[in-house]
Amino acid sequence: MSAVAETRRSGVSAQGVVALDAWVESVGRRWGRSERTVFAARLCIAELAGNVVEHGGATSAEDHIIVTLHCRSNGIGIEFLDTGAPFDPTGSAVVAKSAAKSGAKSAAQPAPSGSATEGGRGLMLVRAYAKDLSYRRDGPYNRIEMTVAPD
Amino acid sequence: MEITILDFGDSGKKVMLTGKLDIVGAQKIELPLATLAGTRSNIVIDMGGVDFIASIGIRQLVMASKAVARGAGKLVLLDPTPLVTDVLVTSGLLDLLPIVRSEDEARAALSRPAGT
Repeated sequence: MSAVAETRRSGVSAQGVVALDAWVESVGRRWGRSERTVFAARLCIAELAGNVVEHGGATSAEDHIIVTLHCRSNGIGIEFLDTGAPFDPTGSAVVAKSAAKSGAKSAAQPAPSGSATEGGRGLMLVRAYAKDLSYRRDGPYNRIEMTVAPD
Repeated sequence: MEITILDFGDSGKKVMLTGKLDIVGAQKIELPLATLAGTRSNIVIDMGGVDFIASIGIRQLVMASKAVARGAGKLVLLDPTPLVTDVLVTSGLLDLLPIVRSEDEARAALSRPAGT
């Protein structure tokens, strides 16, 4: 991991996603990353966080998102953790949240909205803009790691 | 996100968007854009003031384009920034959301028969 990193915790809400975006933009600019790299980081985080808000099945104020940004020579490293339903964005695998955690909560769905044309674009964008995208379940968290870097 | 709807001569309506087309921005444009698209007039969406777009924002544009097309109308995106253009291109939706770079180009695109 890199020596310079910053972490932000957010609630699972639309306003939380907006606040995360403003933070990512601020940190990226402070680190002197290119506009394109900062934009890519913002896009990936907005898509993942938006997916948690829309489909993660959050039911309590304790549900949250934790984002850590790492300043790297080749771009920005991103660790994205959320307490939403188990969901692997690297392969579109959607798993029902455990009964112990979710109760009556339904399984998350991969961004459907009317048609295949309209849904699922977010994860496709993450895969297009991020490098070294990885996923694992880490206790109560989905842990997603990636790097965004200039072409 | 701010949305302003103007006449676009005899060609249809012009929608000016300013700000971030993110999860909150998409919510703000959803009703006015859907209402306008429901009239099935041609729509030019001026994207020059949009400095960020996520898939949830693209979804609103796609739904409006489909609604307009049901009445044989067209929707075009006017002059998005390079970074926003990249997202739109990567999304693979240029058939539904064609990009034009000037108002003259928009008028020409809207005057062509649907499907061309």
